[in-house]
Amino acid sequence: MVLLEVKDVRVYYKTRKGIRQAVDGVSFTVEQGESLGLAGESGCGKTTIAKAIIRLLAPNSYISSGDILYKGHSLTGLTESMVREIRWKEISMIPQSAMNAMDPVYRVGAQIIEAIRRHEPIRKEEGIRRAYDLFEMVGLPPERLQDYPHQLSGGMRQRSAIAMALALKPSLVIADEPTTALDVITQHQILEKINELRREFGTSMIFITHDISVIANTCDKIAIMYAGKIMEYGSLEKVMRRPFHPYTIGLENAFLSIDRVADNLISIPGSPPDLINPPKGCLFRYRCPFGEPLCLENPDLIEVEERHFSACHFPNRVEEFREKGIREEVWQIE
Amino acid sequence: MSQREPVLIAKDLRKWFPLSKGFFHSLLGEETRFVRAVDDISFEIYRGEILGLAGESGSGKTTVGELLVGLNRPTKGQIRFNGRNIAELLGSELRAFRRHSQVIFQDPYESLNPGYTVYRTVMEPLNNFGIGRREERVERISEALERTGMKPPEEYLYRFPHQLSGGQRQRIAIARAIVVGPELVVADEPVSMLDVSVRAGILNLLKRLNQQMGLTILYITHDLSTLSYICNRTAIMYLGKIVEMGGTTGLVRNPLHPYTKALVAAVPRVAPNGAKPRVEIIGQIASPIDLPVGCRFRPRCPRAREICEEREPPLLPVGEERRVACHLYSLN
Amino acid sequence: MLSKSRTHEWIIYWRRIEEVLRIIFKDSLGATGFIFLGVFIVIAIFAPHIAPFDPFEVLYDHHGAIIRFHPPSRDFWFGTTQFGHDVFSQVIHGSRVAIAVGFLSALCIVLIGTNIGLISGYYGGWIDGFLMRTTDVFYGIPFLPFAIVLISLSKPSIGMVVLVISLLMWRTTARVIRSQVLTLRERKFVHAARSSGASDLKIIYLHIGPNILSMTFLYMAFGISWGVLGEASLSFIGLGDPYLVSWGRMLNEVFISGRMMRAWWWTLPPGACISLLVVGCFMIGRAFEEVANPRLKRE
Repeated sequence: MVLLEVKDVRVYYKTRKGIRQAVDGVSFTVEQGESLGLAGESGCGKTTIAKAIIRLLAPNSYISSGDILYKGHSLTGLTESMVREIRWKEISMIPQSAMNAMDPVYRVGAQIIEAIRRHEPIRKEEGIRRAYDLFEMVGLPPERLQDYPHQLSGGMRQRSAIAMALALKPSLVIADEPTTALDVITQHQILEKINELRREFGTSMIFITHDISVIANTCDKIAIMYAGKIMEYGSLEKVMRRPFHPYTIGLENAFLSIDRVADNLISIPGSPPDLINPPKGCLFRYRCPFGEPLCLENPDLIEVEERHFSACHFPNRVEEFREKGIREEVWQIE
Repeated sequence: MSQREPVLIAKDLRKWFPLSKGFFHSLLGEETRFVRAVDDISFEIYRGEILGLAGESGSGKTTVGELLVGLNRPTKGQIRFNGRNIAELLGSELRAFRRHSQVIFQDPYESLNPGYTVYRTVMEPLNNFGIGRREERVERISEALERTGMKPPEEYLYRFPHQLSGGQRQRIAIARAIVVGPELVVADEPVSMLDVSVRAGILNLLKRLNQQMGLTILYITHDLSTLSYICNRTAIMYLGKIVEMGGTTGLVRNPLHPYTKALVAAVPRVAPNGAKPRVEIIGQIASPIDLPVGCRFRPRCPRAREICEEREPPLLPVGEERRVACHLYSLN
Repeated sequence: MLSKSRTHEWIIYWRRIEEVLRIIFKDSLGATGFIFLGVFIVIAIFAPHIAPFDPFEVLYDHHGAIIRFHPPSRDFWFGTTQFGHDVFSQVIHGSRVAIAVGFLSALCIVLIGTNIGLISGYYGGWIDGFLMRTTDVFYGIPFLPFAIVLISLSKPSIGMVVLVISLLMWRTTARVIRSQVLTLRERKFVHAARSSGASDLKIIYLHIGPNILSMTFLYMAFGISWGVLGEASLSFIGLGDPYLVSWGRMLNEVFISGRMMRAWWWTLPPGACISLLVVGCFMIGRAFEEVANPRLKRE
């Protein structure tokens, strides 16, 4: 069953220099119990689309077109108070820095309890009990409920943010780079915990990160974003094992992993285009070594395999892309 | 085999940061407590190698980097640079020494003065150290830019940092570091703030500089993946001490110290084939102020024994190229 | 090459100044403030041409009597004082003292305060302790008693006024600049500069200094208003320059005459001018704050 459907959404920002097309026609779905990884580099729009779903966009940004359907109902048409009902109860978010989720002047336990009581009329004792259970669930000692956010270490804060996100047993959790600021070992523990909780509660998830290895260990589906658009999208295994889009191929060959210390890592020179009045056509063509005149036309997402989509005009050249894509010289175009 | 001549030897290097006591505690004569960021470590860096220094936050690795470039003074211990102990240098002597030991910082958006052009940024060290005359300096700057991949140099000389991408800024930072011809460059997480697609470029650049110019590099990071890519040898730090040290490939494939094992196992793999290695570690990192008695890793170690509570294990050689600080290996 | 590099840098500085001016002028508060200040500067410069009479010229009527306490008329737009002086001319000439003292004091305040803030913030340790304790002492010194003591040891003049104001009012600037420096000195490009062999002085004035410039300008604006108010206060109690007419001195004279309320045409203009100039400076300062601290942007 499709839990969340994002349909051709465009999110624009008003800036002093013009309108920035941060997200420009993004579509994807998240099924019940499924975990989608949104991967991409800085400025690709992945955080923006997440904020659009949960309606936490900055005041100068707006959804220009498209729709976001949750359990079949449109989210974009809802009023702020209706969205507040849904937030935490149906869809919750684990922000990048847990300090953003928590108020520094209130104790952590109090914040969790308050979040619960805002949505469910329970008694204080019941709230305390639930907070205890939540902390136990994420592997934190219940005594720490009495602490203020700054008294907890980074890893503990992140775990409390997870506890808070799961407090009302939402159907969908959006995690925005939840482990980026953490040490490798803490990251491992938190990822394990997230997987464990997902299995237990069947929660669906959108996992936003630039670290493909994290997605490889937590997600079922992956969407690769670049300059506000989706470049490739499909099941994790298909996209990772048989990438079709040059950007995906480039990323995979540029990605350093401890089990893949190849001698010939590539890098993709250049940087994403300015999204204020972006040029027409495929926005990756400035860095893509395989460009052709047709790239001046914007490519749609084409189904290249069953449930595997790529936004490139040339899926037929994929063998060539994969073969050439592992060589550094190929990417050093001028 | 490279000439095993050390550029730098650190001996019993210590950096403790005192915690301010507050008025009443001083009155009561309470002992000052310290953050033992770097706790009596000894190591050497050989000419022409890339030594990796890995550890999590709180391990002391960044502090070590600062000590080696003279941006911080050791509390105790020696740093012998080509025979001279730089730990004792002061004032203008210290300033003059800095030419030989340069640093590249993590944040490419912060390490360049936003009001300086590229030219001025790369020129500054030449100016401060009084290197060469006018024409010679211009040549050096162009050469440094070319070496770091900014070709043609003229195109970049008069740009400002905000007109450059993150990767380009980092190259400028590298150019600034190498333009004075230092013997050692300390790179503190040089790629962790860069996009994935650009990282390999910078790492390849460092590799190239190391191979072509014989540049010795201390590469500080918490990311074992990038470390495996360019470092010949690696030292793993935990709470101010080196717990394991040796050839990088061997260390990653066959870690000996329980902490190294956990660290290596915890790194997410892109293509998990077969069973994932188990991360055997318990709980959270201790505080560097109130260190555990005996081995500081003991509270988290799945294989701790009685002796681990009594004595701190020294860093001792195990086999050909490895040194480990663990009682499991020193009790034979 | 260096000159070409410098040229590029000057271009960027100029563009930044343009940007700053644009921000300030787009903000109606800032624009108004600048207009006030601008108007007073123009008046001050062209005072002898604008004022119909010399400020100390005694005016006689056709009977030969001194025209005292004359309310505003066609001949004397702001009326006359007790001494037969034209109020309008006095107000016009008074602007010269106000602007001169304002700018000079502001300059001194900023020079002293910024340098103390820079040195204190950068070096820390006992230097910081010493300088900040000194600043605390100066915070404790009250303005008027200090001025009275100092000026009575010498003699009243415009120079003494500027001296007194400058000696005391640098304290806030020093504190604020110091706190800015405390953050700035931890920024990585400062560490990088040190690694590149820059001496402390170079770092302070070439790396940190340019980044606190917007703060400096902010306190320059405030400094002008402190200068004007300080001068007005001192002149009001008779400690101002006896050879120059200033707004404070005018208020002093009308006060002594005992007819402050009745001779409103004499009281109002100098009071209004002081207020307008000070308010204008604060408006500029407020607009500058937006530049110095973008988080204060009022959208």
